[in-house]
Order: sequence, then structure tokens, then C-alpha cells
Amino acid sequence: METPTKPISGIEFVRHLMKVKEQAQCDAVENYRNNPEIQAAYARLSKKNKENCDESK
Amino acid sequence: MTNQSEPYEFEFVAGEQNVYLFTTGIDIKYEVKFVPSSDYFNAYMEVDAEVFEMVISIADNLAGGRLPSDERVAPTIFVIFEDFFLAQRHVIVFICDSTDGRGKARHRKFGHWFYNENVKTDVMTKFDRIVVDGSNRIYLSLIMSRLHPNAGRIVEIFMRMGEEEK
Repeated sequence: METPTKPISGIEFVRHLMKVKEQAQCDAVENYRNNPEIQAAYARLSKKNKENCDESK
Repeated sequence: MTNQSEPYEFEFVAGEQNVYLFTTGIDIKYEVKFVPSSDYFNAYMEVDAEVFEMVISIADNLAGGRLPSDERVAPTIFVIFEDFFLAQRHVIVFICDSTDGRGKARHRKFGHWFYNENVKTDVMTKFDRIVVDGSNRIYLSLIMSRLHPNAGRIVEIFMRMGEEEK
């Protein structure tokens, strides 16, 4: 019979959230450097910003 | 002229981690991610909530160093938040980074922009906690809708979180 998993404690959950945050911040940099889809999305957004800026002048 | 508080345009990237991207006028590239984090709340079986951790990251800052003030960043994050958030279901947890000793200032700033932006809708509500873990002070916020069917119970669990062992 499977042993029921002990529920995660509050402090363990907070530590888990901290780790997730640190990992997500590393992933954001990595994705930007290595993922062509992400690079293309940022390039589109950057282009839109420039167009919006030019239109408003 | 561009409105100083007008949100930047953003894109949603499909995937289980709910990633949104935007870039500023000086090309600082932001990523806003909503990571599924229901584990802890799921232990309380009566609570029907989908909990996500919101993480705001800088993917690229060409200029380097401290980020210059940009009044369009906060409205953009709030618009992204509204795009993702489902009032009857979602609960968002947010941690302010305190590893460089500026957690308290970030927490205050986050609260400030939340109340400034939320005044337009007034549906969402925010609860703040400081959890002490050894020598670390961790600044936490929970954001949810006043209309969430389990609002009271979720807030109760959040406010007790990390106090069980004491």
C-alpha cells in the first residue's frame, strides 16, 4: 500500500516559492539568449514600441 | 506624445508556465510568469483555488546596472495581471526579492502600484506577510478577488503560513 505523502509545511512552501522565483529569473535570461521564438517576440515588441513612439511625435 | 502611464504592448507565450513578455522604451526586456503553485493550498481539501506564483524577471538589460524609473512598467504588469487573472478561480502569490537587502523597499513599491492601479477596478484585494526563515525576512503578498468563493479560508491559510512550526 502506498504511504500517504506528508503535506508540505508553510515554511517549506515559502522556500519552494523562493526557489521557483530564482529559477524563473535564470530561465528568463536563458530563454532570451537561446530561444529564437522568444527573441522574435521581443523583436516584434521592440519594433511596435518604436512605431508607437514615431506615431506619437 | 506617448502617454507616460500608458502600458507597453505585450505578448503571451503559450505554455504551462503562462509567460508574458514586454520590452520598454529603452529596450529593457521583461518576462512576467505565472507558475502553478497550488501544492500547499491543495492540502486543505475544502479550498478550491488555483494558486500561481507571479515572477517578474529581467531577461535583458543592455545598459546594465540599476533600472531607471519608468512609469509605464507598473501599468503594463497590471494589464498583464488582468489578462491572466480569472477572478472566481485564481489566487496569486508574489515574493519580493530580499537577497540584496532591498526586499522591504520593493514590497512597499509593489503595494503602492497595486493600490494605484487597482483603484480603477477595486475587485482585487491584497494581503501582505513577512515570513522569517532563519536570518531571512521574506516579503510575501497574496492577491485575489473579493468575489472568490473561498476568499476567507484562503486568506486564513495564507496568514498562518509558516507559523505552524512555531
